[in-house]
Amino acid sequence: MSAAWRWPRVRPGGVVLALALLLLGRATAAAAATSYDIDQRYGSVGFSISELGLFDTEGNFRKFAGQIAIDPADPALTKIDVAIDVASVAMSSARAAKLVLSPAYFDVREHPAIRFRSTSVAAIGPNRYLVSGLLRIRGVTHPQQLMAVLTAEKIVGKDPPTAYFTVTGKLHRSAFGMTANENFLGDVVRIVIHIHLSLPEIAQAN
Amino acid sequence: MPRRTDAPLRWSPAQRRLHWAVAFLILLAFPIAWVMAAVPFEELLLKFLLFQVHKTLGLLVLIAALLRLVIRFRRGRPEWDPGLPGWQRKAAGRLHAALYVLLLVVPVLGYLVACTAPVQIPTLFFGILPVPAIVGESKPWFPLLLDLHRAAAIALVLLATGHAAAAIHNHRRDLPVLRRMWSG
Repeated sequence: MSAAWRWPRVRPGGVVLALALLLLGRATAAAAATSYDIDQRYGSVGFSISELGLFDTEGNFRKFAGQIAIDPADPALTKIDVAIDVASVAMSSARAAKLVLSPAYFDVREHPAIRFRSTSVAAIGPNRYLVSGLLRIRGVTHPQQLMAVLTAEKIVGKDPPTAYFTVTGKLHRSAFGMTANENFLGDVVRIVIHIHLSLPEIAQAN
Repeated sequence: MPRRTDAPLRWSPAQRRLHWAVAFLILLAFPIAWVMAAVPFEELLLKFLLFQVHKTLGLLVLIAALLRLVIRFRRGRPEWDPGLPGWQRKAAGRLHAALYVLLLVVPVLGYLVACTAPVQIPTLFFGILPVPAIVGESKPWFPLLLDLHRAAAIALVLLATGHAAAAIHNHRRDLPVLRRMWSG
């Protein structure tokens, strides 16, 4: 998958500097947002769809990459930019995966990547954030809202704390031109994303 | 089969009807199996419906076979036609036993195939009654069970064909075997 648009990786020296600045500047001004590279090592991107309203079929994308810029002191400064490798889709059967990659569905040959870029992030409750952004699937771009919930913070020994997020959302596949098998597959696709990030400093919610 | 000195004179209406019902169900379920597997994934609804029909037919065969066995043990069978030599009676008896076994084994294997399938699709008896899965998805068991189910089903159809051929052959020799199962 092409990664021409990726920002340079944050160097360890830069992280230490940011950490030092954060620790020093904690009591006063808000710290700058720090950018993190994320990919499939830090979480999962899954989806599910209803069949005849009777049962669900699930899948996930094994490869994705992007950046999240987070300022723990100010969530509204968060920026997310992710690209998902469509060909990495995995489903319960190989034939289902093949169907989902076909032109009537994701059309992987024409559109090898799904892109999401956030436009705004708002804290809407304790540990809950509404992420608004633009989602591009199959060459079609639509606004998309995702609900990110901080589900856990783990502090292990001297390691930096790790924040676990569950991000959910729904979209209508027909909005992206995927109308095949309307008599069998639902239009609503549920998105479930899990991400964990090691942040040098995580501010307490409110 | 247990020997009864008080064997009934003829096949009962229930025995006869269940016999032909099972034959009919298998004649439908078997070709549907090949079609449902061949339908491409693009035609999801059709594939799903064919699978449901096949599974419903299979469960009906299982129910009918169990009923037949109960009736057979309680009522027994009419005496073998005197026109049949001893070795034919023995062979036929064994073939019938094998058929009974397969009538139970094939649907049970099919049910287990559905349970262990990687694509977990519910089994709806007549499209309405959900049939719970006794075991879950299983990568190692599924291909094995599928092969066994197919092999047993083919064996069932082959034996049933031989059984029918023998009945027709004897019928044409003016033995009443087929007539007894058709009209009692």
